[in-house]
Amino acid sequence: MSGNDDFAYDYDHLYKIVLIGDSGVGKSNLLSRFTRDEFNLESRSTIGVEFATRTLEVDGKRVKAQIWDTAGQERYRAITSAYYRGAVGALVVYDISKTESYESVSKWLKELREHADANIVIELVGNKLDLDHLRAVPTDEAKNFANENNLLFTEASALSADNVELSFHQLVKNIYEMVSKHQLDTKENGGSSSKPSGPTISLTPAPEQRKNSSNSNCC
Amino acid sequence: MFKDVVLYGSEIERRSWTRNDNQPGDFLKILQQLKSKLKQTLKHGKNAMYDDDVMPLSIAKHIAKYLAIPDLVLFQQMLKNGYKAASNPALWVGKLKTMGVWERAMPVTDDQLGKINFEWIKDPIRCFDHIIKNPKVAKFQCIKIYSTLAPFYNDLLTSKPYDQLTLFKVYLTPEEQARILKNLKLLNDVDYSITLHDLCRDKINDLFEVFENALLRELEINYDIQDYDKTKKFVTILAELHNDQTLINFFLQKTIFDNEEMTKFFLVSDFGPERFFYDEGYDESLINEFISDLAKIFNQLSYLIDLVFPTTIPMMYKVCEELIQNQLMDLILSLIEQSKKQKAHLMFLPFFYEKMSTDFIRKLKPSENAGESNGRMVKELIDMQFETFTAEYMREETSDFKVFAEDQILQWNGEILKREQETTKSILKHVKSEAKNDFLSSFRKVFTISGSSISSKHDGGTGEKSAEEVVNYSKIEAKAKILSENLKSLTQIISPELVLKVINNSKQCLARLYKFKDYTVISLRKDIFSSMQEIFIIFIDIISSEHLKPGFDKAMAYLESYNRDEIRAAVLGGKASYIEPLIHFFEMINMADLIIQMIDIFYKEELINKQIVKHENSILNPSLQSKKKMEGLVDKYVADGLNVGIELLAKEIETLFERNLEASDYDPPKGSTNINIGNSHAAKEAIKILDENMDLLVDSADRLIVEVFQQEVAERFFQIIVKVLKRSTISVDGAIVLISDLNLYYEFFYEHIKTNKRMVMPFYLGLKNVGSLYLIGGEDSKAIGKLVCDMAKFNGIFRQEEIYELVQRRKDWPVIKKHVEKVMYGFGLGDCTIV
Repeated sequence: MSGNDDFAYDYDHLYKIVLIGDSGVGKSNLLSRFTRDEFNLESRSTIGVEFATRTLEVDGKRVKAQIWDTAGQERYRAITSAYYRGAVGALVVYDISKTESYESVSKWLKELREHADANIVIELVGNKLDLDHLRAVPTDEAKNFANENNLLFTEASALSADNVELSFHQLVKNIYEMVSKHQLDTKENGGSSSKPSGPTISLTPAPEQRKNSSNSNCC
Repeated sequence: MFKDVVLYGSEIERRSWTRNDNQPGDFLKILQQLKSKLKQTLKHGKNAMYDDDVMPLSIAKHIAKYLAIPDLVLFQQMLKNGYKAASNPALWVGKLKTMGVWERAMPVTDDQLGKINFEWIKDPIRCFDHIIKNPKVAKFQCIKIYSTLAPFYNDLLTSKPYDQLTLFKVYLTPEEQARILKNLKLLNDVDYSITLHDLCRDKINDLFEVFENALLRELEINYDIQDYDKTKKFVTILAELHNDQTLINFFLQKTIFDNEEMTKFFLVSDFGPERFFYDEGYDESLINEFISDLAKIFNQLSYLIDLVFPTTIPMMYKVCEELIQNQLMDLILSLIEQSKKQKAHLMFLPFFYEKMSTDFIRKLKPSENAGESNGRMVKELIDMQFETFTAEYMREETSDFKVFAEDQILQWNGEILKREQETTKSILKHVKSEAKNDFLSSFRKVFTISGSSISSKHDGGTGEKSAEEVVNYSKIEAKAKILSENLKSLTQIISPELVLKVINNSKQCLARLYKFKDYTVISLRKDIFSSMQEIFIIFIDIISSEHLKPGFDKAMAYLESYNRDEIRAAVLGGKASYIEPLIHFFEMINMADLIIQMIDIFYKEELINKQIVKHENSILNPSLQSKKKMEGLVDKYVADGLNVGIELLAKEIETLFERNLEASDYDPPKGSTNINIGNSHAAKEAIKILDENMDLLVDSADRLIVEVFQQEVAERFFQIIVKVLKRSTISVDGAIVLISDLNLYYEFFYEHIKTNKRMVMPFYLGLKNVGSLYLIGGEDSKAIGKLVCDMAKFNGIFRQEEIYELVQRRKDWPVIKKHVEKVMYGFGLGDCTIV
């Protein structure tokens, strides 16, 4: 998708970032604005998962962000879990003109806690800043919520491109710092399949519980 | 007096035999009785006058019917019953009817009778002029008329020479003489005395003849000195005496047969048909001149006729008939024969007919004699005259057109053949030089070429190449080049210009035939219209079977040979559009479409708008059937061509995946740091090919065809991807690349399929869903099993078996198989506790 990845070695670090949030909040447009500087007014809802990458420079290092754009409504927990596996960052997106999408944020955080690495860096993004006149979620409220939950916070507009760069940069920078703090070998981190084996074990109970419940239903 | 009665009795007897009015047997019996009664009466010397028995009323009435007027007067005085019989108005009405004056008589009611003075009845000329139609005065009128005319009538019975007859002494003008003769003839009709009747009739007829001859002489003299007033006077008298045919003969003789100027005009040798023509053409102005002269003649005669003849005589018609059928015929024939000699026949006849049937008619002045239908009458006569020529022309026009069209096509085909041969020759020149003119080796090569081309199909044409094969390859290369050149010239196989040329020719044919559209001979007009249809059908048949079909067959043959591996490799040389030949093909289709549109316009303009075709949408409309057949033909080739193109494209993409998709693309080595996080190279290449070819037809083919093509491409590509999946091994890490690829395909078709997304996108949605099967970690094997079940249920694209087959492509399949199958096929006995 991005034309820069002709060579596998064009980066120093590779971070997997997931884009989550209710459907219709503008995840795909945020992503396309960030990776391709595009905005599609007639965008359709994402099916399954889509990937995009962009390489940023942080602290003199080339950091490649592999961003997973999810549909925001996955029926299968196993697939959801596959999305979160190995992610080091997450953008939880809501629509500032839609209260419900903001209210769902807790749900998404819960999912992150269930499926993702405990150290994952999370940023709360209030999208559609261009619709300020229709605002339903006050900035302060969201900001406070982010502070309380230890989340990064921005309000952005994929349409006008306001704060889009900022929000991604902020996240990537924080991931970089987090990863450096934990003194994790980036190269090991790159091979994402091996690394998150720890957290995934802690996640397995969830599908098992489901299985148990369906079991009892069956018999 | 009685003797008379007996005489009449025998007279009646005789007449009854001849006239056969009654049953002769009955009547004879009555008469015999009557005779014996009369004899008895004479013997006894009784006064029989008042004796009813002497003659019954019925007999008297019967006798009265056969008595001339003077005898009838005596009869009524002689017998009582005779009087009764003669007083019957019906008897007198009968006499007026016999004279033919009763029907035209003026009806008058009983009350008005008193007001009529009947003064005219005393005038021998006017006595028949005002007959009153009322039975009450029938007897009166009969007797009065008789007494008025009797002096003249009885005068006829004397043996005076004609010029001594009273009627010629009393009446001096020919009009009066004609009238009195006519009146006497009427009276003669009711003169039943056999001897007198015949004698008088003969004499009157003789008088008429002498009189009419005299009149004709007078007429001729006056006509010759151009005293048309007097001529008209005599014509009127003669017409009154019912001499129409004599008058017609007279006029024809005078104006046509004996008219030097006229005979000269219509004389073929003087006419000189040669002067109207030059090589393959005719002199329009001379024809116009001729038409004007001809119209002048007609108008001149028409003027004379109106001057002299009453409208009761169809003189104008007779003159036109004579002129057109007899006089003009020779000239027309000579013109047409001359036009054939000059090969201008097909052009000349419709032109000349048009001149005659419109210009000439327009030049005719109104004729009082022929009335308003004068022009039409002349046209009908002309049409009748042209019938044989037109029928002949019509046949020649259709056959001539056929020859022309076939000739054009033949010429065109010859040009194509020549061009292709030249191309082939110039390319083969190189091959020959490489073969070093060694006959034997080149002969052997011929065999090895065919052999190797067959074998290369089987082994894919790879492996070591001997020196022999290298030479062969260049042969194939030459072949490919020839093919490539031929493909490029596909657009020159069929030619709208050629079709246009034929259309224009047929338009001219139709226009010529259309000149006969108002032909008054209906059967021929129908023939003309069907000839026009025939020309259209010939045209369509020739264009579709001699031009389009062979052209497309050739194109299909090229397309199919292009599809063969070794030739394609040579043509493409590694880099070219895979369906480029298809573009050429569609340019050809476009031309065919153009041709069809041209024909459609042609059909509407020439056949529908001119109402040559009556039942436009009927299956009985042969023109429409032919047209539809032709459209069907082109459609069939569109489909066939598309098929070839799609095959080509699909094959190309399939090969690409075989060659370019690395095993590591969907199964990166474990722990590798340089994992690909974008699309696989093969996918990008495949999309590139699709992108190059998907919209190629957009401007060259019909929208509907483009849609069908794109949809077909999308479906074929889907099948290829499923095949690719089925032979890949996909790891969880590789799933990211796979899903990226599947997303790429999805995006591509979402962008390119414009109208029928509904038909295509489910395939790619299905693929996306399948992609997630590989993304799930192996530890969620039960979830995978559940997903396999659900996918088969909720997505119509894949069947359960297919999903199952696809999930087996997971790298960790041997490890998770047991768990997945457990979910899919239910739990084993050990796993389930029955409560």
